[in-house]
Amino acid sequence: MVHSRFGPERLGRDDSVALDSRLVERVRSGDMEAYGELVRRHMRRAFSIAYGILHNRHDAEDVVQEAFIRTLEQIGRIEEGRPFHPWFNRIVVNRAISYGRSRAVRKSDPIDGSLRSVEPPPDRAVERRDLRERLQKAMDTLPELQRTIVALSDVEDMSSAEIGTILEIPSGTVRYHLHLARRALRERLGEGIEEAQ
Amino acid sequence: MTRESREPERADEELKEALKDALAAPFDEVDWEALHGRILADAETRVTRRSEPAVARVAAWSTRGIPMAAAALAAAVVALWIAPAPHGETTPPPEFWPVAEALMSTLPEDTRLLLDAGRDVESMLMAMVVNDG
Repeated sequence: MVHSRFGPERLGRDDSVALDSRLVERVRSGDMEAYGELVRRHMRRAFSIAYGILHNRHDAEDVVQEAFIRTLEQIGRIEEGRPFHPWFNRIVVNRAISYGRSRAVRKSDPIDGSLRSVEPPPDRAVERRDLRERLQKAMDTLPELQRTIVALSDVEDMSSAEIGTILEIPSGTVRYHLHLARRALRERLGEGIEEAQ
Repeated sequence: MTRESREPERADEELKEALKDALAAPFDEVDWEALHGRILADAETRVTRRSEPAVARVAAWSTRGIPMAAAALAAAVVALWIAPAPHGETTPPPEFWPVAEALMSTLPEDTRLLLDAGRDVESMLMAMVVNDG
């Protein structure tokens, strides 16, 4: 695999957190090699989170780059003993949200409202592509907070507690918004999900 | 668990699967080495810029700043040189002088001497001596 060298090694959670802490300490003392290693370990997950929110590869790559630069600038702010990844994921999510806002301002084409209208697809691949497009459009109609929660929960498999930490809201609020978002998505997509699967 | 209570859960699972499939990041489309290189190059640039001493920044600025300041000074001198004299220092109109003479004649001798002496320092000092006397 092309990307096998990127992302955390198959360490236990505690080992992974400890390795991150050592790398953060080295980065604080100006070790750019350690910074490179930190980037290598977390860039895949960062890309996945950013893509889940923005649905665009180039935008997601830009956000990953911005997030790592912000990380370097603010690395002194990580509290000692706290794991790196929730702190870093918060930066990624915030950068992606802010990137999405500026993109929304730039965007001139309105979102297609006819989410339910589906022509009979000629084959399975087209059917899946169509579902993907409709899901992305349906996601784009959700409020920003709900869209982010759905991306982190349903795509990234984060728990409501993890999402709450990242977004700085109670986990109960996360679950509530997740419920509202899923209901809205189901309404907008109608029967399309089951048919396509 | 009743059938009714399982329905929303099943629907949630289906939606979750669809979302995961639809919004899964296209990892294979990313050139990871290039992205990693871009991030590190950007970081190196910022670190270098941040650690650059203030003197070096001033020196870098002065290579352009000093010639620009010299050019601005030269332009200001030329502008002052060729500019017309300020309005207050122009010669008064001819009708001014009879009025001035008439006014002066109404003043006491020592006051007139003092006002007249305003033309140069020496006359002014003399006028003061005369007034003291």
